[in-house]
Amino acid sequence: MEILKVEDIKKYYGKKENLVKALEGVSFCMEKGSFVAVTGQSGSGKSTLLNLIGGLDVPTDGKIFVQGQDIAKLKRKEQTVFRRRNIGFIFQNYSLMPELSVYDNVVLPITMDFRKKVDHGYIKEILETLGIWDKRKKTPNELSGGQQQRVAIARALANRPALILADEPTGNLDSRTTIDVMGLLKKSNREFGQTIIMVTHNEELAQSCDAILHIKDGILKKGAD
Amino acid sequence: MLFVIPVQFMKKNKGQTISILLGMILSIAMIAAVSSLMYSAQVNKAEGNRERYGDYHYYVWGDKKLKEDMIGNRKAGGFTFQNVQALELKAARKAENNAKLLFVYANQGCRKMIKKELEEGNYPVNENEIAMDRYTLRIAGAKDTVGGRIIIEGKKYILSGILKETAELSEIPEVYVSGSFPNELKEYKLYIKFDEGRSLYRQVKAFLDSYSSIEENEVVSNDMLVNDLSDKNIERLFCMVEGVLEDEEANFITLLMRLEDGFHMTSGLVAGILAVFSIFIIYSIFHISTSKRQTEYSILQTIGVGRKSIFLLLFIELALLFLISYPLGVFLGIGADKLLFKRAGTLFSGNISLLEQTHRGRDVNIEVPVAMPGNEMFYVNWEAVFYCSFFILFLLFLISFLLSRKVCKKTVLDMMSGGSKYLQAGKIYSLKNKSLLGVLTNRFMFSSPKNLAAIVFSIAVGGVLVLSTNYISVNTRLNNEMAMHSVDDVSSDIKISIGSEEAFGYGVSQFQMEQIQDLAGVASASGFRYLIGEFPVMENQLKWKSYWPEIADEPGWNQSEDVMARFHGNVTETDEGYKIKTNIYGYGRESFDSLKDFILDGEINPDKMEAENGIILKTLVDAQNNHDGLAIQPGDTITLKTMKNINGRKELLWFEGEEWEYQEQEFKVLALVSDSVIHNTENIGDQPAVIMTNQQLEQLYQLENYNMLTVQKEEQSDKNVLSGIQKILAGTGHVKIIDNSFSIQAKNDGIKRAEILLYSISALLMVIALFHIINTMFHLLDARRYSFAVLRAMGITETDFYKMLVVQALKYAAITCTVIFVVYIGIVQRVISNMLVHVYTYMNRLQGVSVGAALLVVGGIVLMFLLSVTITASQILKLNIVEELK
Repeated sequence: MEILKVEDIKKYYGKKENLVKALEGVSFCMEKGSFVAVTGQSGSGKSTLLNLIGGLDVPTDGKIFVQGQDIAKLKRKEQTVFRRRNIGFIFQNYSLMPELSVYDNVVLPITMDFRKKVDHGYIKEILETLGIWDKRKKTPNELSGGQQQRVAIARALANRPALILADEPTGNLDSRTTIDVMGLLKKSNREFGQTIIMVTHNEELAQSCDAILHIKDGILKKGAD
Repeated sequence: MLFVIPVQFMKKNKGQTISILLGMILSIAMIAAVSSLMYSAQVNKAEGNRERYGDYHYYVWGDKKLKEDMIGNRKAGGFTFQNVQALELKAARKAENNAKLLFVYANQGCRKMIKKELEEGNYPVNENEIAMDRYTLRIAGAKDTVGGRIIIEGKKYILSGILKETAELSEIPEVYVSGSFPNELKEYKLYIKFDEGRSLYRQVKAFLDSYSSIEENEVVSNDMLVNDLSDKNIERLFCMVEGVLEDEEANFITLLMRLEDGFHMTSGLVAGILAVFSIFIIYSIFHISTSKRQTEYSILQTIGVGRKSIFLLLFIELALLFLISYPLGVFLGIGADKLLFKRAGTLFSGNISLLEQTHRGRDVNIEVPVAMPGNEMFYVNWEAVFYCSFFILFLLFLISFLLSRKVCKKTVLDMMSGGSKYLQAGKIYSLKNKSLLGVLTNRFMFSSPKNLAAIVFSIAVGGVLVLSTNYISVNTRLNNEMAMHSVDDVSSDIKISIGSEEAFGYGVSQFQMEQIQDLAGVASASGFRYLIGEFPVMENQLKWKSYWPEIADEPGWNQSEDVMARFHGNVTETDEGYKIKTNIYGYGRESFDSLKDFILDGEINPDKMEAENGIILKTLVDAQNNHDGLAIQPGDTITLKTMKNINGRKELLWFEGEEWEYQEQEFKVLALVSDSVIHNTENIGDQPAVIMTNQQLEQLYQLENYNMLTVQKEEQSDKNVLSGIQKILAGTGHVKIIDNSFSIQAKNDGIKRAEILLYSISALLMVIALFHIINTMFHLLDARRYSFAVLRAMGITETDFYKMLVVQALKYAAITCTVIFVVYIGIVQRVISNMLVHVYTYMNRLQGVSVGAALLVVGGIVLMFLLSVTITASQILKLNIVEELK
């Protein structure tokens, strides 16, 4: 089942002589349950692509369909709600709320939906799977980088989103922790059936994914499946 | 580099820099403006008192040698005589009624100094010529006709001139004679004016050291002038404190009153409070500013810049801002004073100094109080401006010290990482299904209780000051209105009174009263009857034994010759207690309403008074507005003794005649008041007083004529009313008409202007406080941009984002308003009300802050919190989420 379809996405910044073409007509699609890596050098447009798919930015041209929904056609509020329910983010710098505990950070996106109840059993399962259940009452500043990234992964999984977007999730981690986190992402993909797009500049990590999308100068070049 | 870095910081944080500058400029402008206005009032009052009470500071008694020595020796170690004049005491005589008289000679310089100028006629030239003021003429029982003959101790004198009465009556009435009059006493009263550019206190001390034959208690001060001159001598302060500590009857309030009288502490206090308020604001803003520069300070510390240098950097930044804002603020404040407040000199003077000009009719004496020259002068209080600058610099020094300690307390790594200051959470709020947005709001606010307290307190100070100013303003207006009635005796446009030399039965008839009432231009006219009586009290009923000099037993404090001669004193001792002489006033029914503002206890009911033989007692009130001197309450009875024949001989007023010449009646006290609104102070003073209805005085004492009338004009500017009254009363004789139209208008103007000023200050304080709210909230939210970006990334809608921040704003507003009202009602209003009643002797029943003002403060604070949050939120929502997360 096709979960993501990107049609001729363009993203330009600036005007006239200052015009920067971050993305120039990128098109691809993804099946549910796949784990895709997006690679490219710094400034190639890979993070821009992720932000557009996640609705954090608006394309200059083109269409993005998530679960058949053209997200560009949604109003701003609808976009926000759609993103909250259907997309999970994992950022390079974890982006956790320093004021909340690990547990509350994980359930934060769910609690924003006032009609939704938190499935505490599921949350426990995720935290145990990721090995941070015993850290659930601690605040992010009490955790190591790897632990914080696990929390970010748990948060991304908590809402059972259609799509998980991970932007350099191992960028701030040492090699051992990187392996751990990659393992967790793979596990999420296998055990929870999550569809994951991961931006990385690490070719080795990209090789462990189902498919690789290579972006160069804003243009997509497909890699081996 | 010490100057370069602060300048760069200022340039980088332009918004904060401008906020601090504006805050400083506005605060300094307010300090300069308010302190200058108060200073102007003080100077104008001093000049007014100089005109009324004489242009001298002290006087001493001495012989010819001392006189020549002092006049010839203008300057010595430690003091300078700006002027020394001698009043030569020639002889002592007695009038026909045994009143003591003092024959004196004063040259022109002396007469000018003590304001004993001619009103009519000439100064005596020949030995048999004399000149007196009207008070002395009355004492001597002589007519006030220039050229007329006066016999004193069998010798005939010609009244060559009538002198102006001075505000301060001399102990023994003075009769001025020529220089050639034989010198029997050979004594001099030496009037001294020191150099006002130096401390009078120090100069007096130096003078006493120089003239060792003069004792300290022999130097008599012209208090009315000296107290109004600024002499902030520290030795004098210690002396004052020592005096209060040694005085058994004195208390803290006494000390405050003396500090106010001697040092005019109010203006300093107000300037100090405003300075502290401005520093709170500056601290709050600067604190936000420095917390945003944590990284910069950490880098400086990393490269070895120590705490002292960090302190210097902070202080230099504040000092530079201060140097820019101070002259601007002073210029703005004084400029605003001059532009907005015309006749600013009278703004805080309360009672404007009046010089009465008497236009003498044939037998009707008309007086029209006019404003003193110089009343409209505005003076800049350079002293306050100068000292306040040091005070503020000191406070800025303190701020820099505190903030440098705070900055240096953090570890270097903490600051470089922007280290989280959050404590361990320990709780999982989502398990209890609590809204995490609500939790976040509380975490944002309460994660640093110190910061929250600093923010809330700095805003609350502004709110408290606004409420305090409103409270003072409302009660100042009420007090000034009451003072017009009570102290200034200008309750009506025109006041008509009969001279005290006439018998009680004499006065304005009912027919004349009705004619005045029917005059075109008269809105209303009320008549008051008058009598003098006496009532006994038991020993334990009179609590204030030192109230009258007759029974106070204080050496050197004697009752005036006038009172002793005419009444044998205000109070006399008996076996059981005392007998107190009292004015008895008769009010028309329409006049009782005016007493309601002065009621202390009981009920004012004219019908009940007539039915139950009741009276209203104006009880004893002291300088601190205490009124427990006389233990007589509503429900008690007093036995009032009066003369049977109201037109009887004057000696009956001694109340020592035969019993058959008097009548006694028991009256029930129905109410106690602090003031009687109308006053007759020409006889026995005015405390206590008994108030009845005119009907009672007519029925009981056959008093039909009116001793005093008050007239309200339909239009204050109508001059025909006065001439109409003059015609009606022509031939009545010994009638004094005072036209208060001008002074009422001037006083109402003054009241209005004082109110405008106080409300302006209130509004300005509110503006500063609100401006501070906006600035604080903006930066508080700005500091949370990362957390807000995370929330937005996690999918918070714009509506929910606004809601979260609005709830936060409302919580801040609620906490701030709660603190304001708790602090204000619990502490501040109580302190102010005590000061108003006991130090500044406000007469009115204090009214609390109006609901409108309270709502305005609350509404303003809530609105500003909401506005600042809404504006900041909309700016945050425009930012790119991804950029913010980086």
